[in-house]
Amino acid sequence: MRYAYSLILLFIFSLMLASCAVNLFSPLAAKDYPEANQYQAQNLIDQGKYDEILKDPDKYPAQDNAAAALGIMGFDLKLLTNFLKPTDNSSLDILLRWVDIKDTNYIKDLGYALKRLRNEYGSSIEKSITLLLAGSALSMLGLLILADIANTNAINTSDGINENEIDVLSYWLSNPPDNLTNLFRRIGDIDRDGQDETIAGVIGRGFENFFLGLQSITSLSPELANVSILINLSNIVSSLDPDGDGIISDTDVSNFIVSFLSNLISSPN
Amino acid sequence: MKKILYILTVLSITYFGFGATLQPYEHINLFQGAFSTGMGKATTAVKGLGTESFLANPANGDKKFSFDIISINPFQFNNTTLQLLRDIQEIQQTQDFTKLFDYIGTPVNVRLGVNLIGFNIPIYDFSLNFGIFATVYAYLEVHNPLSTAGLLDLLGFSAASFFIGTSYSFKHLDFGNPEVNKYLSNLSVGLNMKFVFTGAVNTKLTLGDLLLGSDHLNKIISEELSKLTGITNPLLKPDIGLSYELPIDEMQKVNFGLSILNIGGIPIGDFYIPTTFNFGTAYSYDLSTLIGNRMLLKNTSVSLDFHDIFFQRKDKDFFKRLHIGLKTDLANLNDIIVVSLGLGISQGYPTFGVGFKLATFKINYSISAEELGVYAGQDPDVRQNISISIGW
Repeated sequence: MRYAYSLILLFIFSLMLASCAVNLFSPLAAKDYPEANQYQAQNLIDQGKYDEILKDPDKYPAQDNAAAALGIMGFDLKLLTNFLKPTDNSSLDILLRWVDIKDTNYIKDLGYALKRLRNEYGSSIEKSITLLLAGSALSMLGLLILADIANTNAINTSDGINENEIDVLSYWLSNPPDNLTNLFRRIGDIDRDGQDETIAGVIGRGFENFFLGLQSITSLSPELANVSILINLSNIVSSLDPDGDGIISDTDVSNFIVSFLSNLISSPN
Repeated sequence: MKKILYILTVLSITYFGFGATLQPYEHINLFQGAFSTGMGKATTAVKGLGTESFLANPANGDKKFSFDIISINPFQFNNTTLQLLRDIQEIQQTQDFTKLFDYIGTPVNVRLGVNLIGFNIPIYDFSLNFGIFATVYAYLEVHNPLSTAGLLDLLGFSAASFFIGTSYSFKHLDFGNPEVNKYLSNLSVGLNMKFVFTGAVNTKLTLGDLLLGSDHLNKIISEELSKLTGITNPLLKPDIGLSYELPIDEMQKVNFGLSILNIGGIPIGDFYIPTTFNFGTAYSYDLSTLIGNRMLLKNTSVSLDFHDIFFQRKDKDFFKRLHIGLKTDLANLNDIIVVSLGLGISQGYPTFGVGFKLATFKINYSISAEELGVYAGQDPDVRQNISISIGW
């Protein structure tokens, strides 16, 4: 009986060592259903395991898909807090830092997430904010790819892109050597709809989503404080479709980008 | 460029009041004893754990007189809590809530239960139970705010309850039919009436709240925390239970237990503890007689519980409701000096508990994991539980 007693004690200490880390029922539990997948997505994002979500994005909610695509490109909370706290960095530095040029490989993930999020953003402020951020990220990625293609000696995208390089890019776009053919270079099927897209299309879609996110937030939240901001936004949005035909063409986009970047370099940081 | 940032910031700042409430996947109960946690919470059919047994099933009233005065049961915490307690002072001084980002994805949990008094008084075939217990529970978790989880889950409640109830054994009740008497004599029924006062904080902070800045966050958190002291009107919530003891022979018996707890549900702020039907069975074997030593392995039983039979909790996972337990007195010297052991599997996670009793002083320690996720094995939170009491 002493032997049995010792066995029991050994079993106890084994359990203590296991320290509750292993779940004995887990192999039996059902794991693949919407509630479980949503919770799993939140956990994976919190742990920074963005690639796990991007491997099988349809399994997870569109917002989490977009959050993972942003996360893998370097968007994190610490960067977000730079908006809150005064820092020595210029605002341009802050924006440039949050999309790392090395991560343009994930532009397809972001494009696909945006396509999914577009179907549901208007129902929630949070989704609209994510759409807004993802839209601006997509635009920025398009610009970075364009800068890469520009291949001027003044822009070296391999180590990111800095404020001076943005100025060069803006000048280059505003004063193109012949025309903006690079804007219409095809860079693959970004949103997995079976059709290749142009850089202009990607940038335009990014801005379009950015503004849709903004409009959704303003419509869902009536407490908008600054009316002049609304007017500015309205002007910017309408400049995407200056002829007002409801169709945003590549030409509309290229004109918009030139106009936008021209304004960008002329505005103080 | 500044224009974009300005637009982004201003628009985000204009977002007010969209914070949702949090209904967690954790199976939270009003009362949770430290020792029963160590034995996997499989106590619906287990008698002899005093207040812990009675609150799990009102038919579990003990045949022995017992009482507790001013017991702490449980003091529960996880490892992150200790770290946060060190950082919280700094956060308060600097008002820099971004320090919370270090805790992304790591839940902080604290629970303190205090039983001011708890009596079990056997009277003929009745067992009268009454007492007062109070619970403070806090749960906090920071998330990446772009995900569907939002920025911060904050859930806490304080509850105070006076309970009075009784269990009744049919042992001596004559139904006029020997066959019926034979079967029903093993049956006990119980009723427990709880008068519950609660206060709660329950919110899910969002990205918009974060972008409004530290002052805004501080304001929301302060407002929410003040709700903890905003005690509601008392709720009267009954529990009922059944217990059936099936002797096999002189050394073995099987107990079946069925309890319906928190009938009508307990709303705690926007958070809700539903009515749960719980079924349990326990098999007891007199190991001390078997080994010929009355001091060793006394009061040994293994138990199996299925909680929330009708799936009223937020998740619908079968295995999160399954609890397996074992308890025994490793050493028992006439109930004056007792060393107890509890082992179990709660929601799939191994649990361990040990208790020590010296005359009127009792202390229990247990380690367990609580499933915070949707299914068993998704997101464990390892917690330690301590109880200290004076009583008999």
